[in-house]
Amino acid sequence: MSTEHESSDLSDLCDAVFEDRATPEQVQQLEELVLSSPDLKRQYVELVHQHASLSWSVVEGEPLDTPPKSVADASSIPIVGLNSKVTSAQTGRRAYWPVGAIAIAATVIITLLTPLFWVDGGGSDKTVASLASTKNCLWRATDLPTANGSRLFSGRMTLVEGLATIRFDHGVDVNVEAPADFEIVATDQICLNFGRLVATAERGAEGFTVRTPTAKLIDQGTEFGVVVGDDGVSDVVVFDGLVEAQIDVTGDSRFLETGERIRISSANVTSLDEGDDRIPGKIRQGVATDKNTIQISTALGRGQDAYIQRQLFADAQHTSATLLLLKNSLGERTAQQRYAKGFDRKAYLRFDLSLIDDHEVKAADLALHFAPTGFGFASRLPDATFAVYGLADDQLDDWPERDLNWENAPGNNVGNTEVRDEVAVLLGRFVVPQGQASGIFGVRGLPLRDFIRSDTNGLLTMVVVRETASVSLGGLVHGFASHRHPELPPPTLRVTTTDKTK
Amino acid sequence: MSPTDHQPKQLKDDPAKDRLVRKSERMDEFVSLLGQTERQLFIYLKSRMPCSSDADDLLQETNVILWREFDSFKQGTNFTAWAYRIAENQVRAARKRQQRDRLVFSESFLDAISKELTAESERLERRSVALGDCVQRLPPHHRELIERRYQSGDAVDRLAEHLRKSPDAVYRILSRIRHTLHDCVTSSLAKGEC
Repeated sequence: MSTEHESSDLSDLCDAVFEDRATPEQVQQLEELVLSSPDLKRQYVELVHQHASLSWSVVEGEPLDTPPKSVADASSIPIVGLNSKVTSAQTGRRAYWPVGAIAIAATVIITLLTPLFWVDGGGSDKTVASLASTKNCLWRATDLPTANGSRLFSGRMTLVEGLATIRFDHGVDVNVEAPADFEIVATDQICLNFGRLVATAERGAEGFTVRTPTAKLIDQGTEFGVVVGDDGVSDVVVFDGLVEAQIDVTGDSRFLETGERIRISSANVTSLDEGDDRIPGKIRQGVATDKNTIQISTALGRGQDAYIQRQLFADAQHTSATLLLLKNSLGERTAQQRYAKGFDRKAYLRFDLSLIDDHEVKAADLALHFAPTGFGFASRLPDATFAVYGLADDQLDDWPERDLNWENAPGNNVGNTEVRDEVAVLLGRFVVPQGQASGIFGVRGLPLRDFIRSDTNGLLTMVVVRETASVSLGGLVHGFASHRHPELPPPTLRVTTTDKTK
Repeated sequence: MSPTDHQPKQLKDDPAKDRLVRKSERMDEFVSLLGQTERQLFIYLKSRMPCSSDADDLLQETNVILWREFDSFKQGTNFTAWAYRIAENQVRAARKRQQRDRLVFSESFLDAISKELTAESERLERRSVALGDCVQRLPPHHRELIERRYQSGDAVDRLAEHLRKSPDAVYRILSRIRHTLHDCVTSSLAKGEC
């Protein structure tokens, strides 16, 4: 049996060894102690194993809030869930961190612009609201997580079915009813592009603003409803309290009291009768009904699409003929990581702009139809952030669809996830929530519009990369439909224009 | 262009296809086995060489050798045991290199520890699982310190600079935290929490 004194001595000696402070005498003393009793040997092995387990988190890059694992699966999963607040700059010694998880928080910057209006303040790395509750919700093309309780950054959401309550940090609950298309802008601001909502402010939450295409509606301690139609015309009804309506067309402010209802269009303001409660139509599915919008896919004209794979292993089998695959994995330290890295993939898209030669581009968005790839496990990857880059040099638009590879792909940063800074511009980012393999995702906004405007040769090349990395083997492979997909639409650029010749 | 044209290096009619597929399957098998073992392997190496960061490099070297020697691994036998043997050779080779200029444990001591690690592997695994939870239960300032020590790999002197404390003070706090974690894990297992 060991004594308490010996046990304490052993702990001290272990500390000296772990911190590289032990003298030869201390090492000898430790050896003698450990070999003198089974209890002390056991204690030493426990302590050194603990030290090693803590060190493992450094090598492997354990996700932040990994719950304690069962013993059954402990062998295949790294153990210690240290809560990492460490940035890459701080991880001086090694660089194998769960940057996937960190990247979500650091890089969810949404660049959005609607054809009708733009509100500054979008694009933040801070959450501004929570998704307090959802009822029968079906989301489409959302930039933000849609799980109940999710914290929300600024970004755009499209609700196809159901009822969602968004709780803004300013102290306002907003119930959004489908169909609706809206943007969360800040802790105290929402833009309703289309659809209907009811805002309920707590006492002290005055100043909360609902922006519509034709007005700014500023809460002065109240509950009010807003309906925005296809045409941007906005109806406001005050259920209780006071709302200030700043009307775009007149530049005036009007204060609306309980029971008041008005309609604000881009031409005028009218009072509404009780019961004149119009219902917005279906969410606009595309461009067919809009004569000023042109839809250009990679299947059109000189358009093309392909994906490239790092492919360290020439015999890699995980390919797709119909989907453009996307993957990014972390680290190259271990054999496992290097193997996984061979499956990194990026997608290349080219659009033929000759259709819009005579038009001035007002706005644009890129829509990608995601579908399950069958490769990897969703549970091995958190919400995934994707970035879309445009190749700014027109000379780079001439790339071979059939023989495109990691080495010859224009602008590819062969050693990294991204494309080369000097030839690419970031057009926007979007997030695909964990577990969601299907849906329409994409980007829109000023950078995309300006990128199209700056084109000189009638061809536009974009590169889609996944910024969120899998931290270990088995991470999900994402994919969206190419122009060879038998059912899903190809990558599509929707461009809203005005005719230059008019 | 036909749909299949896009597939990189399509191997359909390639006579080498079978060989490549076999190689690919073999690689998949290796990576899968390594994935299940790599953490244990690292902890084993680190437990054998606790006072340096050599375990990182040894793990890399061991992985490379494991892949090189994978043809000699018999399917159905114990991959972990096979990997440990190769890791052990790496430890011995590293010890020889170190003996010239560094403090190392004696051969007999390391043998005894190695046996204990192997014999107690299941219990130690349970301790590892409980450790993650115990780290989360630490007071925030202690958790931050242990994160910096193990995640950033900051040495005591650098931590002391950051915290504006003396190196000895930081050393004592780290010692206390390790002690707390050890007690927490022991008590968690005793309560059957894990």
